[in-house]
Amino acid sequence: MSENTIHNPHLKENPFEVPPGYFEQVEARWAQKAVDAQKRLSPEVFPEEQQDSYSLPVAESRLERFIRLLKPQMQLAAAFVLLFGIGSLMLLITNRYRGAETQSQEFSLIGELSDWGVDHHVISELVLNDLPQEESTYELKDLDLDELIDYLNYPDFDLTDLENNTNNE
Amino acid sequence: MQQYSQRLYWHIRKMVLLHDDADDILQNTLLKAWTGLSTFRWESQIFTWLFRIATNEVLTFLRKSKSLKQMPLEDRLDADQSLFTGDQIQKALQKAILRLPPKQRLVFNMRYFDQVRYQDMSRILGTSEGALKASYHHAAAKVEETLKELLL
Repeated sequence: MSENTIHNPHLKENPFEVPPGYFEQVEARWAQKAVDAQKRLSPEVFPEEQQDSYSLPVAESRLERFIRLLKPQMQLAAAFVLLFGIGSLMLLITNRYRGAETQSQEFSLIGELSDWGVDHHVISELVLNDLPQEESTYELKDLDLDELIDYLNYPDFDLTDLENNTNNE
Repeated sequence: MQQYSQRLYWHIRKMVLLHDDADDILQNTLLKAWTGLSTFRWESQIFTWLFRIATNEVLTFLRKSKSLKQMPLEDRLDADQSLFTGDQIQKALQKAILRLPPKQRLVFNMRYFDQVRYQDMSRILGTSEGALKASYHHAAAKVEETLKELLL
């Protein structure tokens, strides 16, 4: 293999050098530049009076990064929960008010009469008179007397049994 | 960071040749990496990401220095004599490499001196492995030819 070809292993050696101690200083200089850049980018993080006491800021951890990325979504979810809560509360209040309104309609007349100083017995009578009459009630005045006598003279009819049955009922 | 900073420095230095320029680019690279750490996707290798930033910085620097008509690259080898300890054949190799276009120079340096895998190079340079292999072999042939010319 010829020395003058690129396959010569000597040619793969690094011919460049750096000033003595250069790589030891690189990190420190970079750290200083990073702090300066951070100061320029976010002065609120580095207040003027504290700037000199800061060293290189610690890199953002995975958890912090995760929280930072998730923060907008969490804020959105919180806003939804808040709106849902307000909506539910409004619905609850409205329904309760509606119930009270219905109830007051039912008893409004009684309430009004009481307010006017009408006695509660009179109110009860008024209310009861308004109740529908039971259809099973007999009108005794329409009974035929002859039919009643025939009924009572029916064979094997015992007046005592009738009396007992009536009392039992 | 120290293990990365040394590799990054040599990657940059072989491209820009002068120590001062390499140092400036390295500082910018590290600073950009630091400020852009929040955008770094942890599924990729940090080495690849850092090399990508450094490579972009180098290409930007070379474009700027060309437009500003700064010192030609071949003259830079002689300008930094104290920090170039190579012999005549090594200097000839560097001059041969400098005749390559910047991107081909990147591929050649990464493969020839640092033995960077084509797979990693593909991620760093954003080029397919096949194209990189072809580029390297083409660059190697050109360097070989130039080297012979220079050493005649």
